[in-house]
Amino acid sequence: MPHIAIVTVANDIHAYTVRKELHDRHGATCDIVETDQLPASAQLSWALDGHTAPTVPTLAGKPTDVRTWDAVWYRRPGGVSWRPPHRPAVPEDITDEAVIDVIIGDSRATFLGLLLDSFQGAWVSHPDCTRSAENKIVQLRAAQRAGLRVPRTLVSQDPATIRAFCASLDQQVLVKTVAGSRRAPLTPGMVDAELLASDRALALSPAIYQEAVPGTCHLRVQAFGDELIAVMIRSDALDWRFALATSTVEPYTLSADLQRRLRQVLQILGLRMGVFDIKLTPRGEPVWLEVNPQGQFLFVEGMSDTSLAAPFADFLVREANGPLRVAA
Amino acid sequence: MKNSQILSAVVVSAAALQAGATVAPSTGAAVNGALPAVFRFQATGARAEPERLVAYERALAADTGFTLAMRKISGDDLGPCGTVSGSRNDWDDSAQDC
Repeated sequence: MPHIAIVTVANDIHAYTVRKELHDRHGATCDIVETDQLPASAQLSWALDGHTAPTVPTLAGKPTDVRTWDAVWYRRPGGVSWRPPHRPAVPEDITDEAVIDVIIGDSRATFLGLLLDSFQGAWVSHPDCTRSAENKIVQLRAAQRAGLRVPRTLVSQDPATIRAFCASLDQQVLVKTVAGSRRAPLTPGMVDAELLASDRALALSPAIYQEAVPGTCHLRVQAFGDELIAVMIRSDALDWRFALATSTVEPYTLSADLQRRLRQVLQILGLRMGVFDIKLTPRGEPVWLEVNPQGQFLFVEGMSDTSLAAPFADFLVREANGPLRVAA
Repeated sequence: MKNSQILSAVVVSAAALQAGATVAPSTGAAVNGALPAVFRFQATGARAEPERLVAYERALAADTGFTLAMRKISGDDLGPCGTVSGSRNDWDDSAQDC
């Protein structure tokens, strides 16, 4: 039976759901590691000489030797809690920011180093690839290399360059964050003359300025290895995430060409999974928006008849049993 | 879901009360230059989630032991459950700080 770990933060319903599917469908053992609970857990250990087992805390409450895992779903490794203050939990009596910084930083580094050194199974996906692929500039280039239609895009904080770019597109340009923040619910928006007139607003931070793609049909494509499961989200909103109540979600069949190119993006980025956002033009042409290396997918199952938890659990088991698995 | 409010066709998720649903250009600080350009577009108010999705999340939580875990952690009926946000703090598609 495969032994699979889900690296995430506390209160993750995706983790609970996939753990149940792993158990029910495959009899697999599944550990949940809550990375926002690592500080003060007293269960992180690693030794150079190997006499001490490399262990991490799990939701079950006991330290687990990471060498027993066949696959790791590397979902939310940074310990950025979904609850304020959006960082790993430290004891309340620790209030000095420098002390907190050391505790969090050393817990995070120990956890990652321990895994990189001692875990010998399949990553979904590897930390280095995940980190790199999260970067919008990196993924835009990957999409272009895969031959997808990518909107004209500028990432800049130079007001003159931004204004020239927007003028070249008759101001039909979206502005959106490069990385964003858990602390501010920012969404894409159309630039206008008022915004473009502010040197300081443009210069304070680089942002993505991107050709607006018309249309109301959005594709959300779940890639679990080579398996692609797509739905179409119909929404009049620029950002359907904030308009789910007025959106519809239905299964969608991807063309063979689009499938091939999306798989190529994953390959270029070194990812084993990804959740793509694609927009269809009014003529039905798919246009790249982004890939989320660890995107949310259960809402799609909840809003349509598309099964995702079960296929994802099957995928993890395939990864655990796959040729990449190195015997411990 | 604690603090939720039933509307005619949708359920407003307590998990989203900080995140908001109304997306409109502000005329404030992002325009006059006190904030970066991207801050002009912030969701405000409550995000409405389809009843179907809320019902799915409730069933999923009960079926997977998630509800019990929530009670242990926070005392919430369901807590910051979410297939989209996982939290009271907006959509989460990112591994962040990995």
